[in-house]
Amino acid sequence: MKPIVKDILKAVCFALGIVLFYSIIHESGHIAVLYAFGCPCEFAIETTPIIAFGIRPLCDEALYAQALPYIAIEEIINYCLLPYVIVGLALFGLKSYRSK
Amino acid sequence: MTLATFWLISATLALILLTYQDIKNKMVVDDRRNFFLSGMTFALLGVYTKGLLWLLGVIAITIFVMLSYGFANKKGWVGSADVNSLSWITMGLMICNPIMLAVFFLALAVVSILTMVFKSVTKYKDALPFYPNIMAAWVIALMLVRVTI
Repeated sequence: MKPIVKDILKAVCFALGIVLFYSIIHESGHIAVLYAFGCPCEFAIETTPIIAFGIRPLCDEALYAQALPYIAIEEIINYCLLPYVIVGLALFGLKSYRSK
Repeated sequence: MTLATFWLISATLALILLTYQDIKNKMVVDDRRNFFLSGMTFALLGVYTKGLLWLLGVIAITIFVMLSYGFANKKGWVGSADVNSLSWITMGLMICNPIMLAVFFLALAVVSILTMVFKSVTKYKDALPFYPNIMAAWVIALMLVRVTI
């Protein structure tokens, strides 16, 4: 595998780490992911990640509670499982390379 | 479960995998796991930022550790993957609990010295995998110090 491809894969894994962290665990991250995927939910706009060291999300529990009824559980499951699928493909599906 | 706990669990799993690879493949590991955990650690930093000075302090200490172990890497004492792991471990533990980071590096120093003593006593010439040392220090830090966030 070419070094540039290795570097790209490393960068992809780095980005996936961030995506996984926000979309799976952080509650406002769920909405941010929905918004990123084109969810029409108006509250998604309010919880768009603010710029603080890249993608720090706005942590507003009250807003999240307001937004929750508007988001179908299927959407949450679908959109939040997506990063897991991407991570699985990236880490295990691609041809493995090793370095040290 | 807090975000810090989630990070600690993910980090432990990654270190177990890396240690297994390091031993099994004779010091050859998949570096993508390190970059994945680096991403998670940066996300953790984004959530738990406590002001600009704190942020700069965390980054400065991480860079210092990277440079120190980068020097050790050039000398051939540790591998590049080890340096990558120690970078995200440093940043993550600084966020979770700075005392945990101190205990980790203290334990790492003790384990490394014990390894060197073992090598000199047994007159073992070849290089040994470094991830078991990191894993041992990690377990000691987890057992002795609690996460504060």
